Amino acid sequence: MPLTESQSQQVLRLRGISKAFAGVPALRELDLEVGPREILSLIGPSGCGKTTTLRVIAGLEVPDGGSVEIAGRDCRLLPPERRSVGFVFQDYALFPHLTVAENVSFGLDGLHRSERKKRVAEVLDLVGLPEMSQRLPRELSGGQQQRVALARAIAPKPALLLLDEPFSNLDPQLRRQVRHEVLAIVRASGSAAVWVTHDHDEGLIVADRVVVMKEGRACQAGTPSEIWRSPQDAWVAGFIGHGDLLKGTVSNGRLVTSLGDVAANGIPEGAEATVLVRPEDVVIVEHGSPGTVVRRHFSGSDNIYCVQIDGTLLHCRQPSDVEIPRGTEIKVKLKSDALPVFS
Amino acid sequence: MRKRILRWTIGIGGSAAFVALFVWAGYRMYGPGDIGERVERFQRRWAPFYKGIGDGTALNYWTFVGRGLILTLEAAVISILLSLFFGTLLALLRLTRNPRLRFPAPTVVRYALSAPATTLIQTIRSAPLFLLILYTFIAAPKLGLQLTALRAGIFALTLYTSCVLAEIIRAGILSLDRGQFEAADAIGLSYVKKLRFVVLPQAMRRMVPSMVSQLVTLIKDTSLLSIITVTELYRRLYIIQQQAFNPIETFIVAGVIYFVINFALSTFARRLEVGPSRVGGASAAAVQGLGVEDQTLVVTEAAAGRGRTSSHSRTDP
Repeated sequence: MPLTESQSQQVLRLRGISKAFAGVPALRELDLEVGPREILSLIGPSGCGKTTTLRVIAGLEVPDGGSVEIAGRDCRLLPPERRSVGFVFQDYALFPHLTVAENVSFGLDGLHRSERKKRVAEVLDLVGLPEMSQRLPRELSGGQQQRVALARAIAPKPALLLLDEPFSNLDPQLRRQVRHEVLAIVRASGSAAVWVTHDHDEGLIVADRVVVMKEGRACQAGTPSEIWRSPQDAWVAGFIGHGDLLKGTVSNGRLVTSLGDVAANGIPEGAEATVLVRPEDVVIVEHGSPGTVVRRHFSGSDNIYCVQIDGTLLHCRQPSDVEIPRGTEIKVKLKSDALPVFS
Repeated sequence: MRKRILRWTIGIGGSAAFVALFVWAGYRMYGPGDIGERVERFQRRWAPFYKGIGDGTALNYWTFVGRGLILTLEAAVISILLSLFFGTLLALLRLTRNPRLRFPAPTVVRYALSAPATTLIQTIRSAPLFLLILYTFIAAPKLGLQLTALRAGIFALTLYTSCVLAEIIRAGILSLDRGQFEAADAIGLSYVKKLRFVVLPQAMRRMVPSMVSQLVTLIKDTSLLSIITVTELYRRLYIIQQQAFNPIETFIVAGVIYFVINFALSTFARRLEVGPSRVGGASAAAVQGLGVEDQTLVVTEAAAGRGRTSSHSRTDP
């Protein structure tokens, strides 16, 4: 069968990957593709199989069924060292007895001595640690170790870079800062990447394309804004978070809820349906549904007010200088008519 | 202050009690008779060590014993080197079936390598070394092998120690984080390079204490070779005390000699342990069984960056 254009271009193709551990399925018929220079993020709750997916791609686990193709080569039975992948481990797994430079240079087996030296310097430069080359890993901070792990992974110029929860060992503040650096380094390396995270915000920020996983399957794939704007179902919407699900009934092509009605998007008449309402979709108005402010989350740039309307709780984003005391009666409505609706 | 007085009292009191016990034992040992007789006996029995035995014209006492010491050291050093090699080999063979090491061979081959190694290790470890030595010595000629007593002894010591070391090495390798193996795989190291540069250097450093204690045991066990006529240190001392009529003094001297050898080995090993200071984290220090002071030493050396300069074990691949 001749390869079509799109097939030959993909850096990674997973087809029907299944994997069970002691009879418990971790991956069920998973398909996944990554294009050149594309950063794909795999997000999902813990136990959804995202790390297993990464390990199957790397060759650290052998799948029970399906095919793995990296840069056009069938890799299902290839050992990890022959797959041309770089792996950034959750706990970095740096070699503690070797210096930073040695850690990085071990992956450059095939290169001539002088070229290897050059590449190590180049990569350490790229991750911003040129003066740390003679240090041992434990003489570095967590963020620096992270970058050494990254340098080690990208040094052999792998076709595909795999990152397994790269920031789970960093504290949140450092995480935000390092995220941008790492992202820039990955882009500069020119490799395609699969980035596993359970942090949906991180997944949306770093990726060109996002795959949401649930129970061993890819349940939605799309650009970050597609996933954000039109989650496929209530579960994805709930996982991506930052929203309330309002129930209602469809009548005359409109989904009628306690907060007004929105376009029903083809859901049949009389059916029960749910609409995803994010805090920024709720506005305070003169005439609207009456509700009571029950809580306020102040996050510096925003105030998120929790409003109780007929027994349901709804969140409403306001600028940080809008102060509404708890217990105040306000009226709210939906800003837009085109919100994600699920049957 | 009171604590210090108490500590001193206990210290001095304890030492005094020990010395008293020693003097009492000596007094009894060189009895019966009055004090003059006892001192005379004491001198007579210790004299061989500086005067030699008989009229002193025979072979010099220490030359005779020294040859035994050389044989002991020969047996020990050869067995240690061979055991380190074969122990590592046996451990790796036994580990071929372990998925963590990813031995590059089909499952059948991995099991075919690992099963005999496992059986050998378990069988030999459970046999008394005494029996192994005797058996090798007796059985080798029947198999047509013309082994000298010394070689038969070295063979038995090596066989036994290899199997014990194999288990120590296996445990050391498996004590490493799974991530270390996977990281080595992921950056593309072959099986051999993974072992050579990532797994064994870390595992060996963690194993130093248990290995040293096994090697100390080996040195002491060379005395068992005396039963198959190897005239090593213990054997010669045994022969000589029969003429000097001073078994107790002779065996005290034997103990001191073995102590000096083993103390030298332990001291050397301790320098090995602390010196490189490239051991991974606190857990490694725990595996090493370092005392608190030693751990601090490792940490401060690392902080000062001095640890590395002392090792110079740059492993350029």
